[in-house]
Amino acid sequence: MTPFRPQLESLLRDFDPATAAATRFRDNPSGLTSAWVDLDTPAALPRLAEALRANGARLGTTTVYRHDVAGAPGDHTIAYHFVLGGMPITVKVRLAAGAVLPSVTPLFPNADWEEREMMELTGIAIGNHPDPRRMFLDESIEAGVYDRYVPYSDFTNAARHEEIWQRVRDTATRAAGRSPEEATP
Amino acid sequence: MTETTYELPIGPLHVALEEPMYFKLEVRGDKIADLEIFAGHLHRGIEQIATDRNFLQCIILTERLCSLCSNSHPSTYCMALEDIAGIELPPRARYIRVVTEEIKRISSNLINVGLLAHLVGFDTLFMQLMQIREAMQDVKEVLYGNRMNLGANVIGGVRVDFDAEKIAYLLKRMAEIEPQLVTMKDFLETNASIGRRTRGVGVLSRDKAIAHGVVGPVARASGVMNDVRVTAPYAAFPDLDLETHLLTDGDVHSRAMIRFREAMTSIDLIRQCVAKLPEGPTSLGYMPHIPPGEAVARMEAPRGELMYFLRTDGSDRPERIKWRVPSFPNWEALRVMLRDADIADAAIIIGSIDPCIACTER
Repeated sequence: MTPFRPQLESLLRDFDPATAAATRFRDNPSGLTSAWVDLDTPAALPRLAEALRANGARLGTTTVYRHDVAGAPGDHTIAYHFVLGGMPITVKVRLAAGAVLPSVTPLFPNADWEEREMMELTGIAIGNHPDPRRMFLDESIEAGVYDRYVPYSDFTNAARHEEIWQRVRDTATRAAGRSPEEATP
Repeated sequence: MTETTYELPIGPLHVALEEPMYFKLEVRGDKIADLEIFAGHLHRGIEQIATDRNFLQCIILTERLCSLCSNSHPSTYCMALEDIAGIELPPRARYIRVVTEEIKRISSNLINVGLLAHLVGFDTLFMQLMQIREAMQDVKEVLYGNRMNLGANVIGGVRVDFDAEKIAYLLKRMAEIEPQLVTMKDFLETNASIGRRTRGVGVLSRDKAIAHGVVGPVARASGVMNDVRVTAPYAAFPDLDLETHLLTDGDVHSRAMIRFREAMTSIDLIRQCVAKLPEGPTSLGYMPHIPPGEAVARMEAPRGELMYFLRTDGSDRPERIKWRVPSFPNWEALRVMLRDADIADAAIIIGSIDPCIACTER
């Protein structure tokens, strides 16, 4: 067993016994352990991130995904992938539509680009970010616009630009409360 | 820009970088007071594209994220799938994966050190290093049939096998380049001209390296040992003796020397793998079903820790896939390295993190 597992278990017990009890550990076929932590509320994230940092963990990366595409398309899960020694620790936080996610950039400077990317590509609001400027998109473009109209990958993968623009028009028409069939081309 | 500073743009196209990245330097006199880095020129939305491809197609897609670490991507992606499906690699495949990655590491590291030689005006050294690297390109062509994208990985193993003839060729070329690398290493460590341009330049202290979570040779040149091959040994690494390299000056010279020494260690690892190469199959022999699940996979790419997060839902394609390349955290640390540096050193400092922009922007 990795020596970092007991260290994480102890840290989590101090943080919140319920979170510690719900944390899962898994060994992959190479015998390497990973940890999976679920947080009840985004507000708890900075405190846990601070405890992890104090124990020598670093932030590897973050992932945003929708956990319920059909039922709650505006909700997201944000997975923070920390590394403690050789053990990856994934801390997941669910974020309801319109809620604000606290920044961990003041604790982990390498979260800066991660969180800025999150804000502009998914439209997630992050509070207390020290430098919340755009990375990829111009400031004049609405945040999360690719997500709402057409994924950027569809642009780069498209054979005909007319298909892309038709999809943008259809989405905008539906957003205005009309069916695409009613819209004048 | 203030009354005492002016702005100096570098990029988005610049000789130090074959890919586009835009740096806006705030300059006071000959020194860089501060800087901003602007990304976005190469964002292709590949993570989203991957969710529209099946698991097999994603091996091909991820291999094309970048050329220099092209094997690291599909290899780590396959590790994530194998974790989710509980697939144990055949022993022979574990060793061939290490050989493949270490061959790529030698090529990648030699390009970066060669580029440094070019940037300090030592083009003869650049050409000599590229000539050594060319031997590695030959090795790739003979062993895999390609010079850059090797197509070596399948889910649950590798696509290639090494017969006695290929192994003999591999060992012959390693024996050829090793003495050349020893000579070059001594030269790089002692040459005064290179030392003047690279020692004490672009320093990243150990504390800053830890704070910024930098990885790979950038971390190890600043005294931070986070080599995934050591901290979480995967594939055949638990069975191999890996010589580690750690320096503490945190400057351009240290980063180059870590890369150079690690390239030489790769030769030793390749020899160990070949000597211990187990008999048996190289793959499962069938396309496994991937159940719903999620996994984090990591490996030590030439530039450092490559991290993949994969979620599957029982279908034949990823529900979500995210990768964090080694260059991503290293960009932010570049701000530390460049502050108070001479303008003339900007290009070699930027080059010293061995940045990969195609990887960063996805």
